[in-house]
Amino acid sequence: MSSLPLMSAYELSRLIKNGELSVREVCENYIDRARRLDGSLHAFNTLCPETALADADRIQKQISDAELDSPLAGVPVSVKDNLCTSGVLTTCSSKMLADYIPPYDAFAVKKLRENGMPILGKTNMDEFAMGSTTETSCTGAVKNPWNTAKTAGGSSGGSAACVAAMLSPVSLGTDTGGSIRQPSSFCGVTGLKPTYGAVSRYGLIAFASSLDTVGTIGRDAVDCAALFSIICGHDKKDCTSAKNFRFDFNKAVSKKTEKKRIGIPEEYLTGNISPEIKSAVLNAAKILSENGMEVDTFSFPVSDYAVSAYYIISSAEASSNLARYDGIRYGFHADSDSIDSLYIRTRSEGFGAEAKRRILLGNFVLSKGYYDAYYKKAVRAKQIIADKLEEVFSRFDVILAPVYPRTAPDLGENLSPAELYTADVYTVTANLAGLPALALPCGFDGEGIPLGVQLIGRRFSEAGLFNLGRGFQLITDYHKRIPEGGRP
Amino acid sequence: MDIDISLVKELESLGRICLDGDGEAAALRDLGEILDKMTVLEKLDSDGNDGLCADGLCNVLRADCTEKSSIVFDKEYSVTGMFKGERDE
Repeated sequence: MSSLPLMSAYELSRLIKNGELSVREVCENYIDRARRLDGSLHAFNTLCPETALADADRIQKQISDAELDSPLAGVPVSVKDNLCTSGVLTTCSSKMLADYIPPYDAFAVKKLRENGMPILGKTNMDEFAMGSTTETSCTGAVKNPWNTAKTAGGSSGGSAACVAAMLSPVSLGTDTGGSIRQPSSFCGVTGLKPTYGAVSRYGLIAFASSLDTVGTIGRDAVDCAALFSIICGHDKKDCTSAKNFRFDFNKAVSKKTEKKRIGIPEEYLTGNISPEIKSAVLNAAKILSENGMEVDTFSFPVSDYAVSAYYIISSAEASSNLARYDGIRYGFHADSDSIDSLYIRTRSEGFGAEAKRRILLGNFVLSKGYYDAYYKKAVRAKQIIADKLEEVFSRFDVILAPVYPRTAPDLGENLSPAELYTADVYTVTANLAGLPALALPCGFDGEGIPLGVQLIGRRFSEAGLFNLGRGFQLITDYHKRIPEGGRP
Repeated sequence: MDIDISLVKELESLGRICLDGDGEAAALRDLGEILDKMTVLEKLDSDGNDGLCADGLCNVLRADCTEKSSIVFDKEYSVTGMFKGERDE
């Protein structure tokens, strides 16, 4: 069926449930597309056709016997390569884990299997999720399906490109500082960074433990919501996993859009933002306003602290989390003649430049003489930002904001680390405060490259964000457009 | 911020990594540029007059500021985030 890739994941599950499509047929379609098209995109690190098809047959029987009750039963999925997948290479796009095959599934991956979703493969990413372009991947960068000279974004660039190019209907990504929202915007797809604690981090290979979240990428808000409903929930193996969170899927996908008070931070629309993105964000605000929402601006001066606080805290935590890669228990192991030499050679050869940069920065901000001036102040700034946002949410229900100050850069553009870090100004705030944020396509630039906007909500308000995003997508069609080269 | 090559070497040692000459020069340049952008945090009051406890270690789960956070940050192993109290939902 040539139109199959154009269908949403939710639609596919309905057709599978009705017997109009088989799980095998759907999987074969996506596997075939991945084999034909991924050579020019490099969205996948590992494709798993045999296990996906074996799972497809098993799941088909479960569906036929009415043993599976899941919103996406039978729908294949791709998984970012930092989520442990039992028996499948899980590399974090790093030489350090190039041969690592986990003996267990991450919680989110286990939920996919329990809900009858065959895993097509593992998607390419920035090394250890550190980066915004996937150019730090040891396997090579992901190309944007809309223009292969441009980056698909990062660090979940592979996941976003997979969905945009219809190599998988939905994908799991992770977001520590914008790593779902930014590539989703660059690739014209929808992506959710959930509330910290809404999805278990068990089996997510850690980057920054107080900021990491596992989220969903899909063609639209309904698909993202359906996948989120599968992976969210308490997990006793993650001590930061929320105990009492209940996700209202019906509210999330309802065609009746609840009225919301929407606030736009004034500071986000001044300064270093491209005129096209500013115009697209204001246009999105206008569309929402014309459809019953109250829209206003508010002052958010503490946003000045956000990037600094984020990079200090995330690098500090990364320097600790990456300390485990010592060549002893797993991963890359360099030849050496002493224990010190083993550590140094393994880590120097196994990590890429960006990972090493974060280790240096993290050790710096935690070291004696600098801890008070940097780390302690960053944690203080994080709390100030969270407190200010709590005040904002007494006046508004949702914050509307840009995702990135410019559209997708060219591959090889060679931006300096400081320039790349500064560009995360709009996304890191939600991570620092632990808030959910949904990125939606909201237009295209003069070259036909997608533009995105994000909706940020109170903690555990994913249903409300999806409801508003769905409402926006019922009125607009940006999310329905597909890259030229990807037409079936 | 002015940092010098001896600091870079010290950080390499702490991180158990070894950069070559070009790598150290790049690290020096990049870290300097990155740290320059972080001077905005100097505006934050060190005396706790911004309403936060002197410890400043409040966490995203909004533990009571009057009690110390239980985040244990062990540089040799992994971060173990042990948060006190029930989550605020």
